[in-house]
Amino acid sequence: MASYKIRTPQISHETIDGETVIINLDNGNYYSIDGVGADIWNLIDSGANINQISELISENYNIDKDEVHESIEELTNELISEGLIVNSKNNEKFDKAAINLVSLENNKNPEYKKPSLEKYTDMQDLLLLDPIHEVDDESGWPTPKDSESD
Amino acid sequence: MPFPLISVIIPTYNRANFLHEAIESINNQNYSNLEIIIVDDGSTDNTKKIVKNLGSNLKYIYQKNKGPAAARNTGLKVAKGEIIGFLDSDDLWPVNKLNYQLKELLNSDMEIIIGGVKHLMLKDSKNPKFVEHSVTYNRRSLGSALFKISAFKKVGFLDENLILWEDLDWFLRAHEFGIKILWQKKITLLIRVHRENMSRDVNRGNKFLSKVLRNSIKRKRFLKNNGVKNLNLLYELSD
Repeated sequence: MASYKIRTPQISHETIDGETVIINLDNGNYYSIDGVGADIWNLIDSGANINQISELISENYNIDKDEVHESIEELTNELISEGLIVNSKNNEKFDKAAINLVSLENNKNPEYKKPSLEKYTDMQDLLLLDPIHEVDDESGWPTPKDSESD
Repeated sequence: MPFPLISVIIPTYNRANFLHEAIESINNQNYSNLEIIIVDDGSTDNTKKIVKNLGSNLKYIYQKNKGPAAARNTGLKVAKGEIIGFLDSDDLWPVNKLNYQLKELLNSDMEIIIGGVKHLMLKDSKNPKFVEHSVTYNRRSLGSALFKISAFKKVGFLDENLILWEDLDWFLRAHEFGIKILWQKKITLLIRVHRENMSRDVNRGNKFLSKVLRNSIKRKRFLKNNGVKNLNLLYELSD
């Protein structure tokens, strides 16, 4: 069963009030995804495989598993082509109890909306980070590495 | 206004050893109409004494430690210049930065100019001399930029709740106000890279980054839902 992982550390992400903000530090693109999409993202982050994700989403949102499965595949394909996730061998054990899902935060039945990824590319200039240098632990100061390039 | 007053704001915290070089790099700019504002963000070393010995053209303000955003805001509040520049106390301005950027900035209708950055690093671990690293790059940075004061009048101060990424937050707001940035390749800031400014807590940093971007996304949605192109227009409409 297909399984994915987030392409860290180049990809930074955080879920705040049910909305996940994802940043690609390689190119300065950033993304927003909420509701079902945020749940799927956080399930990928927890090491769940596609089958486990489909089951949980279908259960939490009370929706047909096949329909959910298709949406999840569409979304994961998009996440892969955007360079946000990569295929994984899924060595991690998935712990259902350890994850906070948007759909479980409220007691009411959450409304199912097809996940959609919003992409922002207008800030690339401003978002790029400084090149990282290696620190020499003995001296506490970094020294130039000639192989570095911008 | 060929030689407008430039206010240079230096926030500093326990950098007594580097401060004099930073100030020297400003005095070497060959530009006389400037004020240097040093905001001491609660240093516990001998920063105050060092500043006293560095000359009378310096304005020294001491405040309780509140973080770099608050220190820069304190500087902005007292700045009298038409043009604003920032320099961190362990960084340096290359010669002619001011004249070069000022000329370009005044010749354009843009309100911000951002130049290139070069890192200064130790030659080797046993030699305390800093050398220029070969890599140059263009990045958002307060120190490599020069601002017309009009930009701050529109966008406001830096967000003091942010300990990290407060500069990005400000630039994003500036962008949303429709303020345009002139990017230039010429090196206008030399950043000293050392352990204290490198050992960033990545996870904590990313949390602030997500927060800053989410706030920007929320503002963009608000503008879109109200059919307004930028924040500036929104303010005009609400008058």
